[in-house]
Amino acid sequence: CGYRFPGVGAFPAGVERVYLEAEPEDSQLVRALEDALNRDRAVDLVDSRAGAEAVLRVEGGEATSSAAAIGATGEATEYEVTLRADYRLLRPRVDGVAPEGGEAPGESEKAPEEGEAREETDKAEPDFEVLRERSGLVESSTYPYDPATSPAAEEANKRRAARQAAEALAEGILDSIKSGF
Amino acid sequence: QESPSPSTAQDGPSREEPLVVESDEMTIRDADQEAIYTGNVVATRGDMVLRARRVVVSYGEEGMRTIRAFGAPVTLDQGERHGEAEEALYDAREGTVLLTGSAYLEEGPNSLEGARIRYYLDEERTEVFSGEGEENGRARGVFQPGSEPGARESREQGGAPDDE
Amino acid sequence: APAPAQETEEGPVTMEADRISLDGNRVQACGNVQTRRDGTRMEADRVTYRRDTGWVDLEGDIRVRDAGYEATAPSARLNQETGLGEIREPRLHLLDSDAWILGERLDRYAPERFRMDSAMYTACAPDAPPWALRSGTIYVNQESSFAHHWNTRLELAGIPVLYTPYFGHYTDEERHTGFLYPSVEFSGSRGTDITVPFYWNIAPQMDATLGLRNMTAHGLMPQLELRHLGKDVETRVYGEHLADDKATGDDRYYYAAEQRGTLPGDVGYLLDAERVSDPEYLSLFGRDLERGSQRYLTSVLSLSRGWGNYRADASFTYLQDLQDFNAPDTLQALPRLSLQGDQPLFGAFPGYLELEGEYVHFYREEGDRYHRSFVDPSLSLPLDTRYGSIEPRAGVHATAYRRSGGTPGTGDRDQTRTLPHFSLRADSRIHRIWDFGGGAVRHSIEPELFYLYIPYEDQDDLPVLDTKASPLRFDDLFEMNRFSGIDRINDANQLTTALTNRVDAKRGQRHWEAGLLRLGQIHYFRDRRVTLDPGTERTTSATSNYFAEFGLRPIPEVALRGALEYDPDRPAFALNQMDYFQSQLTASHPSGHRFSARYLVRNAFADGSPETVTEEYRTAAQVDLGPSWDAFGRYRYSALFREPLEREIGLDYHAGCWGVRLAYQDRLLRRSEAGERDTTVYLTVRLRTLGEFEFGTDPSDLQ
Repeated sequence: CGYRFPGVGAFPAGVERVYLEAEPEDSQLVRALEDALNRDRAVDLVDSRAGAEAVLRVEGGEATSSAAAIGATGEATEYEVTLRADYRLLRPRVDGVAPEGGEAPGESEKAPEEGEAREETDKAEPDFEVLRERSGLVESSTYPYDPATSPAAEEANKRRAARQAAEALAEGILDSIKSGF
Repeated sequence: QESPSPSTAQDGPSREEPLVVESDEMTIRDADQEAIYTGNVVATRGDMVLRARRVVVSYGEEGMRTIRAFGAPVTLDQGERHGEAEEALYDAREGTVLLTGSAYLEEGPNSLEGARIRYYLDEERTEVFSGEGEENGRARGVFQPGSEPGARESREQGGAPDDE
Repeated sequence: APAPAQETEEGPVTMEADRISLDGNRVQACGNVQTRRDGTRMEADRVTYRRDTGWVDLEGDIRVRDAGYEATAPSARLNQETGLGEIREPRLHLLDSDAWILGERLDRYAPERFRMDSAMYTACAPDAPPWALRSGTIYVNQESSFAHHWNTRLELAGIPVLYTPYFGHYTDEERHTGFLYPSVEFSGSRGTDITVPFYWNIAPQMDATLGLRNMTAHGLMPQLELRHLGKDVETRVYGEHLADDKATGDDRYYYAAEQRGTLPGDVGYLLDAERVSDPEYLSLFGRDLERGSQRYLTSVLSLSRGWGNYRADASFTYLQDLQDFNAPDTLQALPRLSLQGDQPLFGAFPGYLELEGEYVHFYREEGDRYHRSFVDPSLSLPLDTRYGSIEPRAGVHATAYRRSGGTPGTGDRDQTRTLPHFSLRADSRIHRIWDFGGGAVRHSIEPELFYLYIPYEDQDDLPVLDTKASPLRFDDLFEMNRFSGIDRINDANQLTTALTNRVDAKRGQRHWEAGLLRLGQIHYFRDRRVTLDPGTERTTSATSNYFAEFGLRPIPEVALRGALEYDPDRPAFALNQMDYFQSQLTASHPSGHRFSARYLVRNAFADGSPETVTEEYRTAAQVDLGPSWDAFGRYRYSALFREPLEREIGLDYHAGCWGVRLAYQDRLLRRSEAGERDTTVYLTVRLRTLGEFEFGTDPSDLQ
């Protein structure tokens, strides 16, 4: 009846090394993405852009917390941790046909395979081809705020909610890349 | 006759320089006191060389009065100066050359363009006129800073160019 | 004469005119003269160009086009080589921000810098502008696109409204943080509240906002914000101080510092600290209900460094308790050192050796202090196949406590706890895709299982430092420990079952999650004996509550999201009888309308009878009333104590280069005795390019 097992999916053809570029550089989401990418046997997370076939550019990813509910004395009674992010998977554009002798010695010029859908070029970054992109991804979770417990316990609860939201967002990003939908 | 020292070169050829003209044909018309040269005309006087299709030289009692040259185009070379135009008129008495018809005058990296260009041989003066009405006949000039006359000397002396 | 001409080897000077005459070094052109050199283009009736000095004199109907501006003037004198010089009575049009400066004289005294004497600045059409800044002198720095005005007065419709010795502002339309708007507020609790900011661009990388906030009910509050954009480290320091508040007589203040960057050795660095003088400060002097509702302020300084699959963090966290104000027994993590690693193993078992370790020194002024460290090595063997993936994981969690200081005589008491843990995660996915013109829809079904086994160990005598037992959330169903900290690790022999239905849609380049329904529950095979406080009973139920997350987004512009927790033993006939229910609807329309609504309820069932902990409605809307009118409103109501928390209604009028916003806000103030409110009328005049202003409500809070 048309349902099938897609399996785990894969990065777009030709992408074996990925460079993660995030703004801000360090956030819960960046750590969750690094863990997930390190675990993905099909792709290596490299730490320099030069050696990567694709750049995963993430904007956002910092957890913000706000009062989801407020009590009679004006104090928060429910907290909400929210993570928003946009991502783009970009491949540095290799212009047209690979140069014969070419002034780029040794670098194997891989012209994009014919079958690959021509992603529209990225207007903001002419020298990049957008392989995958998603914007407006949101993960949030609320947790009650119990006046009887200590700030240290509330802080630990906030860190835990932020980690969970980051892991869910990272899983959503990688799934959207690998399933190609 | 030994060529004048560089310091006076700016004054252009003095009037006594002999005029030598070569061409395919030449006809003299004493009545009008004119000599007409036609076909690959090359007129040289001092360091000024004029090339044209047809040149008319007219005389008066005091000697040569004007040289009128016609060509497609007339070219004029004098030291670093090179000029082109449809017509050129050299007036010995005023010491001027008038180029008319998409006139072009170049001196090192600087160049002038216009419907008519008149330059004064004995002075550092040139005038460029645009044609009436035709759009592309506007007077145009391109000046490379640091290439103006006397620029090298004043720079060598290290003096900042005097300010007005 | 202006500064000596520096020689700049650039392009030639080209000139076009009706007539050009050369006389030695002097070139004179007249009749519709156009002259150009690299980026600068000039037009005039008559031009005299001194080739030796580079000076160009222009007369008659001048137009100068340079990087970033275009000026028309009766006469000018500019040096082609250095670009310096002056333009008399210029009408200057700043191109990137469409702003105008008219003045007696423009003096370009350095590249990218010029000065205008007795000048007028406006971002409106320059003839009879609705507003203008008339200044004795304006210095414009084109590099940082910033203008400094000296002895300037603000004129609205020609009427002088405000005089200030100095006023600075950016001349481009970029978003510049930290710049406040001269705002006027009439508040029930603060009286007339006027803030006038002075903006000072100190150096290319450093700018500051000095503000003077005058509240008739409280007094004068100077505010200072400094920002520095270093190569590696960005810094922002903010401080506001109200000396002897008229209402309470105390000194009240709020200070904050943020620094973020990379230190040598590729060490990530973050400082984010704030401190306030009293718990009610942020609610009273802030303008935001939520900002004032915080129970504690977090100040953290953290260093972090990664090596391949490993990462180390060191952080110093100080929490300022606002409920039990500055309580001396508040535990602080000074420092917290943590290490995380994920080492791939090859060979027989293609798995991962994961290592998590942490040391925390829990410090406080009064009361016991503790050193706590734990290490949790575990082995995981993930296996991915087409039909699904399985990940068994086994490890040991070892924790050590050492009490130090605090109560004398009992000496150092060490306690340890070692708990093995085993878990198995398995999930699979099937999906089907339907293609239709220009888009596609994919429905995927993802079952998930998570088995967890942790033996019981009596932890009643372990200290409770940063641990709390809060009700579960959907994500907690897949966690190793239901407590927020590690001072208690739950004994577990349980299986979580979850099923996710997801509908993804794409149309053209737009992808979005069109539908989501996730259900989850834990099945307990044994009672849970570990509790936070020794007194409480073990929990014996065989299953947990049902947990669900749902979402519906038929088109990208309209989205419903929510989550709930439902107890099957307590059939709930209304949303507000569930353990937890939260749902949020957001809708937006390209023309600018935006709407969001949210309901949230949480009940506790201490002894079986429901006791509502929280129940709140919230809605916000922004309506586009035409090209220059926007209305917006916000309403937040607590059904728990039947009182509106916050009501706001506002109207924005914006006419190209200026705008005005009028808003009325009524909100609950934070007070020890409940129920005190503040009503404020905000009047803000917006003058384009003179500062940053977000029309309508902040889009993010409508999401």
